Amino acid sequence: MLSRRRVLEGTVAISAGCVLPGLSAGATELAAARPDRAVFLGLSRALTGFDDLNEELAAHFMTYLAERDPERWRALMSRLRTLDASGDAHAGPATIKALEASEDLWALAKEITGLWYSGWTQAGDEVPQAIRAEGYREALAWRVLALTPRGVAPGRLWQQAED
Amino acid sequence: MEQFDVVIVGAGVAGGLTADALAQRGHRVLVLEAGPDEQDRDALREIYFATPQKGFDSPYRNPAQAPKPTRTPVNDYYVQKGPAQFGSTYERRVGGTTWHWHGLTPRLMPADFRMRSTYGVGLDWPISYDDLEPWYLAAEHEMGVTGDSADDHGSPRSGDFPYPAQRQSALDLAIKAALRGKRVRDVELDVTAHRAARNPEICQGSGSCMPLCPTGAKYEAVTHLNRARAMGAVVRPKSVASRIVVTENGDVSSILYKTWDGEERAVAGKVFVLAANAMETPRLLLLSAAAGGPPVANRSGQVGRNLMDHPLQLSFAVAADPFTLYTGPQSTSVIKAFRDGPWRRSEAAFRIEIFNTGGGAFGGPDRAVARLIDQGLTGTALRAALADAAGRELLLVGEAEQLPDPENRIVLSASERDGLGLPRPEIHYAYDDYTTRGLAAIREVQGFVFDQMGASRVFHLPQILGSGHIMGTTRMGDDPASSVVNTDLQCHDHPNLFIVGSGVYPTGATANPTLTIAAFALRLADHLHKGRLR
Repeated sequence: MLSRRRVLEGTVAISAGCVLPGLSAGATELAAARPDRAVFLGLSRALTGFDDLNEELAAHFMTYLAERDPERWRALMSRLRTLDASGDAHAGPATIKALEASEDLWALAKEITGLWYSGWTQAGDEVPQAIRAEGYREALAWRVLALTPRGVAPGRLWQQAED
Repeated sequence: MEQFDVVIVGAGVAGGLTADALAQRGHRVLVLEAGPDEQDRDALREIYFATPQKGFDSPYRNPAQAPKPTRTPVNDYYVQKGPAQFGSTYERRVGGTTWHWHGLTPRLMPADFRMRSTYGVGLDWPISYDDLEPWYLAAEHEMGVTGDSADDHGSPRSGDFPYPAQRQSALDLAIKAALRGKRVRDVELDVTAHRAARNPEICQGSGSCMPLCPTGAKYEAVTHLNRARAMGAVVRPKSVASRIVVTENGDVSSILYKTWDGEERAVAGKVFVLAANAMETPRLLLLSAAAGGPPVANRSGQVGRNLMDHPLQLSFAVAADPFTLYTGPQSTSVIKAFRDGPWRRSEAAFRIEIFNTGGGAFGGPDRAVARLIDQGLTGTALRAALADAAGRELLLVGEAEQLPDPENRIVLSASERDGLGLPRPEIHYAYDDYTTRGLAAIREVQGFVFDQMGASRVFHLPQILGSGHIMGTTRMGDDPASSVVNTDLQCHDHPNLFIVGSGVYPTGATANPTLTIAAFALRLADHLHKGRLR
């Protein structure tokens, strides 16, 4: 059975449009996938203000976005590469500013921010989409508020807690 | 044909407590439940977490054979004929709506039973508060209710709560301090802890009483259904009651039900108890007549009429200072001053619940997140802005009284059917001036509370929502010409058919109905044990 990660790697390999000669298909995908993942994480860090983002969740977000609107996803990746935002470092304010200049890409960037903070998304009038339960459980909003997600027991009795 | 002492339709709080009390006393009990029996809390929680826009119904599936109304999003199970939309929903599953309820358990007040004689509106109940009081106390102990026994909230008590009052949140206490000595509409306000069926020795304030408590601290009817099973009762899920069969002498001989595969079966009993809530119980009664037989329990023509709710007015504001929100039981305190008073001659009474949830009763601070992102904030600026904004989101929820109106009713849809081919409920529903004035009073009082706190940007939601408190469609009364059941909850027309639930309410008052439903169930079980099942 094809795992979601494999699907993702396949998707981004295709989206990156580069298959390196001399490598097995899997290795080719991995080689292509790493830069995309790094690019996405770099942008996500800049957008969210958090450095230690969940890489597995990032993979799911990427899969979702790439499958939903491949053209816009490719445009974002392409633009980010052009801006030299690859690697593990933060994408900088210049990247944010450049994306702001493109209505389409800025809308996508906002959606990515929302995915990280809430765990779900809604594009236009479409039915809202949740990526998976982890998106809610690890939504950054909970880290900002320093709370366990609602629906997860905090590990102490309410009667004895202090606000 | 299978034969039981008691056949109960509906495995919610009413059916669960009735089944348990009778099984404990040695009676052979069958509970038919239309929905599934799915009690894996962790699995339900995963479904809930993976649902994007969260609501009461999110963790619980909606099978075609036993469909339910949903609110997030609103579905088409109800065939709504207006003019107002009926917004209350429920669960069809073993445990019923106690899976997604809030756990609040106020009692009715003495005047709630005497609306006609006290205020000249509605009608008087054929029983008094004193008749029900011992059963309230018993229900509080069965369900494990928290409360300050020294403060009766205007509902006199013959005994103590099993648990002390639940701790109020910092927000509750701030509002209490802001309101100290203040009056609005000539009434002094106070902020008191809810009575709630939340075990304080388990409750972690997980922020998710609705729709699913992760620790099981909140009372759920599966407690009693599982206990009844251990005593020999049969709880049969995926069994959709479709027809009550009546003999020529007026007794009920059997109930027909459909399995999810569409197979029709029959079961006989000495006594039949309808406990399928104030929507599905009248639907079943109407289905029975529509199937070709005579009208069932409907000599009065009142089955399905007098549908009531506690219409909700939500009000939002932005606090001057941030609080720790989005944690704790979703609401820990009530402003109860307007539950009873002379204004009830002309406008609805109401309660106000203070929510610890920030701007949304479910999930995370998604509205604030969306707003701040839309403003273009990113990175550390977004983090700081969200931390500040989410702590300032205030939500007050007012729940208004509604008087019985025979034109507010549920009938069978002539054209729309469910997955088993049974007609869906068609709803005719409106708010009268009495309730409309009460909703306006709620806005005034909730606005006053915000003002006293120094809050800003007050916003009253234009849409009036349902509270989930479905009442009145099989009313209780002494006169068979104007009511469906008598004071023993026995159908006037059928000596061995009983109805238990908030459908028997003659008037709606302001108390969340579950505790009263539970009191009725315990009272009915006692009555049956000492009477027809002796």
